[in-house]
Amino acid sequence: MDVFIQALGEVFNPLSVVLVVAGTVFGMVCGALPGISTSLAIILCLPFTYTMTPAAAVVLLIAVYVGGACGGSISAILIKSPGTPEAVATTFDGYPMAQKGEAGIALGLAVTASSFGTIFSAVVMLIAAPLLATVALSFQSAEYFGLSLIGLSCITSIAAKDQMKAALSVILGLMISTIGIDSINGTERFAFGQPFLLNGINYISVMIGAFAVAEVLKNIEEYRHRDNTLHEGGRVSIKLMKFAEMVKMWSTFVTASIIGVIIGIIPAAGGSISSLIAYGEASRTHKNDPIKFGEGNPRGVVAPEASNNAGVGGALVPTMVLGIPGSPVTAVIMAAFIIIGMRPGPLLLREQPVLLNTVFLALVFSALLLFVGGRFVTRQFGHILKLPYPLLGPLIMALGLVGAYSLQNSFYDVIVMFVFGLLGYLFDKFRYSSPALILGLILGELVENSLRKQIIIGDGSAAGFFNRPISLVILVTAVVILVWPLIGAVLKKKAKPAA
Amino acid sequence: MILRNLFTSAAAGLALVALGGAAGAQDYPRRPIEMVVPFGAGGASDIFARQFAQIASKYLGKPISVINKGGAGTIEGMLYAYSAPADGYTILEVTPSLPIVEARNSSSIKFRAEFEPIMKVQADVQLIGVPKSSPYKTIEELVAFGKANPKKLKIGGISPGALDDYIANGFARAAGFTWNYVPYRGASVMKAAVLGGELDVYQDKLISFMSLVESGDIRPLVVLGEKRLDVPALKDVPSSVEKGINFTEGSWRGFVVKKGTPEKVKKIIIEAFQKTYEDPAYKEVEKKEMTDIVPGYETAEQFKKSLDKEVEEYRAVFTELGLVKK
Repeated sequence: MDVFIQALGEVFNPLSVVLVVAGTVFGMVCGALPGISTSLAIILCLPFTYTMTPAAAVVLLIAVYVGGACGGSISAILIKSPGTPEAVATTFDGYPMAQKGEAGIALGLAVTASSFGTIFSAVVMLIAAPLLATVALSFQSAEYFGLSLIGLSCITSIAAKDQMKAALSVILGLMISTIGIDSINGTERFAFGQPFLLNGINYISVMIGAFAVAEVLKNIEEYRHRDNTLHEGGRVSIKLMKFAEMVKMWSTFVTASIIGVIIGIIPAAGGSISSLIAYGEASRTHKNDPIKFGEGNPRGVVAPEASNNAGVGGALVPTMVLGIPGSPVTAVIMAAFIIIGMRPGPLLLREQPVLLNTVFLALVFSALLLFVGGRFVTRQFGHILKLPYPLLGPLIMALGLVGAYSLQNSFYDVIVMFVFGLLGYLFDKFRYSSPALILGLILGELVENSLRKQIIIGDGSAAGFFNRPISLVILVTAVVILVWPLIGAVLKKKAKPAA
Repeated sequence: MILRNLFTSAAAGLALVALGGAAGAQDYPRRPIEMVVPFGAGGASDIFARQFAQIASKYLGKPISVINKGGAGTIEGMLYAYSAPADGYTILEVTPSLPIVEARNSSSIKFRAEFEPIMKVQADVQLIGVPKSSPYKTIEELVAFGKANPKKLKIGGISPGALDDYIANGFARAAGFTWNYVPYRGASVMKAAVLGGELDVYQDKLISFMSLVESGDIRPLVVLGEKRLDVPALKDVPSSVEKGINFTEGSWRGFVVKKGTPEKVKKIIIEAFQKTYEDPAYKEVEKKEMTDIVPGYETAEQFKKSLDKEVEEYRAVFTELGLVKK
């Protein structure tokens, strides 16, 4: 108990309060800008931590992490350009909500879900960190493979309109993911002697292109022929959802948070996968809602946002207990710990008993700040939609361009963005699925790498996928998720003539 | 307003560039210096460069801004530094990855022909160990098993065709056996694979190795180097040379500038970096990262020689692995 009180003193002193506020706001702004990832936001803060006490530094970094995990939703909802990879799934329903004039509700929900997910994961982390860390170790190549299959099988729920075209889009995404240096042999594939293709096609620039740029192109085409009152007449609402209505969605908040924590704990799976799976899960269990998923269902915003923030606490578990970062962002946090003079690893919590509590309090504090202040500040961003489109469009393009460039300070990423912007526009027109393409691209490397690795580990045999119990369960789940909507559709068809 | 500010500062920047060109080496540095890190932000090499740059700017008298060009497996960073003028305003960070690119013929730009060494700053020792449940107690047992069962042991890595691939295969080659190098998507997944029992052998740099050794999860078997390490927890771990395995590669970090940079300018940079290296603040950085255990410092001359030697060694191993482009 006294370690907890000691941690209280470290988090709730005036300097730390300032740091939490500044860190959360900074994280949100960086998260909202496509191209500035949460990792980069944390790196930008590092020089300031050199002169701080270790506790103050930890508080600042955690606040930036929480803010960043939430900030990605702002641009996902408003301009269909997820600010961070974790927010891809937030665009699916967040953007349609904003188009219906409910930007304020969507933003408020995203922030609320983020803070709920953060607090949920912080509590889980505090209670069960050492226990959960062992769970992380039972996930090996075979289980990663299964997990990435679950991610892929989510296409049946994401793109229900035209399953065949969605499947083709995923396959195209998977194919694009094979470009570059092969992650097992180190040989070049489809690089055509072009150095910029060696690292592969960066999925974030694809994402900015296929979502944001494609949307701008579409708007340019439609602008003259449509009712533009949404923008010019100011029907954009920034009101928040009533608290009672949010409570009704408690099951989505909780399920998504659980998914987020579990996937967050597994090293290198990361928030982008957990938010997709949480979205898929929500759309399966609530597919009979009056508002369809993909057309602005509030649950479609809650699920990914709660889960990607729940991943924050989740990813910190193996980082602190094992010295194995659970996500790219925690890898940077771990580097920061070393600079501060702490050595993350199995002994860290024994040597620094206050640390876990400090991290816990920093998480809860920044989450509360999000909930209380963030909801009111964030929804003000909704006003941006009142801009007439001839102004908003170029603004989105400029943001996207800067975002794509700043990924690796490379102009090639900008070219990639434009190419996929055009492709995304055509995809929309011919009802192929851009989300499915990106899903394939994000998961392609994980699928291939874990599959081939497991076969190497098994000395050429694939038996490992089936005789490892967790792997088997995951694989069966993946197949069920993939096939269930199809079976459901067939059953419905059979039932209809009878009725 | 903002736009106008931007415009004026851009104009001022241009003017500075013009001035800088005209003034030449007389009063270098006249404007901020760019340090190109050919890796993404957040890795060990990036963090090192950022800390070094911060201290070095004190001695150069102008800010050093770190810019990450991580594309194309260090090639894009190298291309970027190559395309900048040879005036000392662009300094490139180097790790073994760049000479490896040259050894494998992966880029049309030949690293040693286009850049001149400034200083090799630090060395990072690599260790090889096994999980605590492993049956191998010593390096001899491990090597003996490897010799009897070619390609049976599995060692993890994170970058096929790059440094840890070279270390794994180069070590085995020097010890006279073969094993199976399995690449992971990042150090964290590889560590989890070792602790979770998927891999037989673990390799990592000292700082990452330490915490797992102290907790007893990893049993260190060998230090890749000439001598044992002066670290209490590792004093009983033999070095590779002591065991008759002549392989001592680890990671290292240094700096180069483009060939053709005026000697005067180079001298100023070298002097400033030398002071940075001796600065207590930098020594503190090294202590925390445990990169001060084995001296890595080399002057420009020594660095040049060691680069030549290493490229030959890289080429030999990667040729055997079939990873050298014709």
